[in-house]
Amino acid sequence: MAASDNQQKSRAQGFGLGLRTVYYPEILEAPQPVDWFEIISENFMVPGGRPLAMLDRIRADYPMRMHGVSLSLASTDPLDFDYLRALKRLIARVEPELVSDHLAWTGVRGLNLHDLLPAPLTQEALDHCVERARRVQDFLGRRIALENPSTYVSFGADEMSEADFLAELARRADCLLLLDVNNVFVSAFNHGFDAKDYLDRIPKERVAQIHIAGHSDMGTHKIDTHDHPVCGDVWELFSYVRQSFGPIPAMIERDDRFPPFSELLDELRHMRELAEAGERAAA
Amino acid sequence: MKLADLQRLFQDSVLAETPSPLLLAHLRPPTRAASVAETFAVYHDGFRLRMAEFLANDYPVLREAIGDLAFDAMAEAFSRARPSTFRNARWFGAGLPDFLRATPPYSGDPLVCGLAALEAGLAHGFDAEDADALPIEVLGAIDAADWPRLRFGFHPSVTLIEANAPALAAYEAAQAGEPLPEPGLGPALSLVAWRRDLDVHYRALDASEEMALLEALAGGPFGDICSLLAFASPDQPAEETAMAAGQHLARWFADGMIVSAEAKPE
Repeated sequence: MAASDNQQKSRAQGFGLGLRTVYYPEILEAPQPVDWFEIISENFMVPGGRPLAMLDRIRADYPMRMHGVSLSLASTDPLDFDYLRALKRLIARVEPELVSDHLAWTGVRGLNLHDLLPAPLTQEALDHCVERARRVQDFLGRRIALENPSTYVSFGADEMSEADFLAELARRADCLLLLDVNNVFVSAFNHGFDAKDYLDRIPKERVAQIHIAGHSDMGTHKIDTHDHPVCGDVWELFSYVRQSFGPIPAMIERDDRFPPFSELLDELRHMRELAEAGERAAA
Repeated sequence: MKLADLQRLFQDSVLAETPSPLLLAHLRPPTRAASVAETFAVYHDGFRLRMAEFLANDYPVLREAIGDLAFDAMAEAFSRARPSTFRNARWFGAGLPDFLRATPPYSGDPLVCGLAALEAGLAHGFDAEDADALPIEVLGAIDAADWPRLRFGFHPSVTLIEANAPALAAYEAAQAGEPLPEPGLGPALSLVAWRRDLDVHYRALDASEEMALLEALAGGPFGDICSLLAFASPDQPAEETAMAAGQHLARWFADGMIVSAEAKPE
């Protein structure tokens, strides 16, 4: 696949939110100033009932993007084609602007720890991920975007930086990237690298979406919990990304300690204002 | 170390009570934390917290009934005995009732087993496959001679639940936002849960309806359902048995449980 119209389309403007059931009443009650919603794909990989009925209702009014947590790209277990078939069925139903998952693995020997576990940043792991990303894209018949994870440990065997790993993965697999600015901030703190240097190494033309979220500060390390408002440092990094990367669809993830919907909309409004300011500065 | 070996070692260290020193030796010293064990704990402890959270989402009344500490210990025992093999965490918790029925001390606790069965049955009803309920009027077109061979297809959400009166009382108190009653002994209860439109319903079954529904769900024809009821109540006149079977059937239609009715040969 070469850079295509789809890639251009997926970079269209817009500011979104993660679709979470606690906000269904507000979303269904009246039109909201949200350009699109992102769903957690696995939450809707169920046979039927209310989850899919609500999905269809909201999809009728908003564009959607799909974000998975169980692709397990970096796992050395075989690719799970039952999962991929279910994912493909959901893609056909949702017709999302973008399908994404993570540079991570979730388990081996048939188990799923339901966590985004870190891949060693080695040539062997890179070759493995490239081959699997290609097969996944061939099966799905479309490009996917891979997200940089938050990580809490790194490996003595690491041979390259995560940013270089992702850039090479995207180039060789011809896939897109989902840049999670909060994850860059968290991992930079945890591993002692420079967040802006990391961002500068990411191939801009491959970035199809941006995530922003809050995290927990444990003092000696930070954890990507999505249960706090976005902090000032992450907003600053977001502004940096907008100035240097240009307009890329961006959204806020919130997965716990849910605030009133109006507070999330305030954060989204702040995101729009920062993005517009960044574009004015870039111009 | 090869990628596959490293991942096995990493996973084993998450699942074990304490991580392997060999794995920790393969990790770089952290930037600020005192030890690599401290940062690896984000994965190790996070796994336990996440499994307990999944189960708490699926079994909120069970958690309320036994308290957070006992619930977390149960979640730890379950996730250790039956670690998830599912891509969707939704299905991980579905195996909890089986585990509790088979595992002391939970197996000897009717409230725990009953509540788990009830909440799992209702969760199944929530997102089971969709199907259109059949109106009872279709029975008007069935030839009288075909009735004994009439078999019924049920909505995929229809589930029989083996619970008990204390578990049901606890569940209903929680739904009403009231304090849970003191745990006590009570009779076993068979319930049926199903989804109509998008809402999950349930009700208790008497012995006659339970027997009839079990047979119907297994694909037995209406004639066999009547025979079973007659066998269970040998002193009952045949007309009353047939009437009871007809009443059960009418209620299943009224509840929206039936999606097909066809006169099929054996």
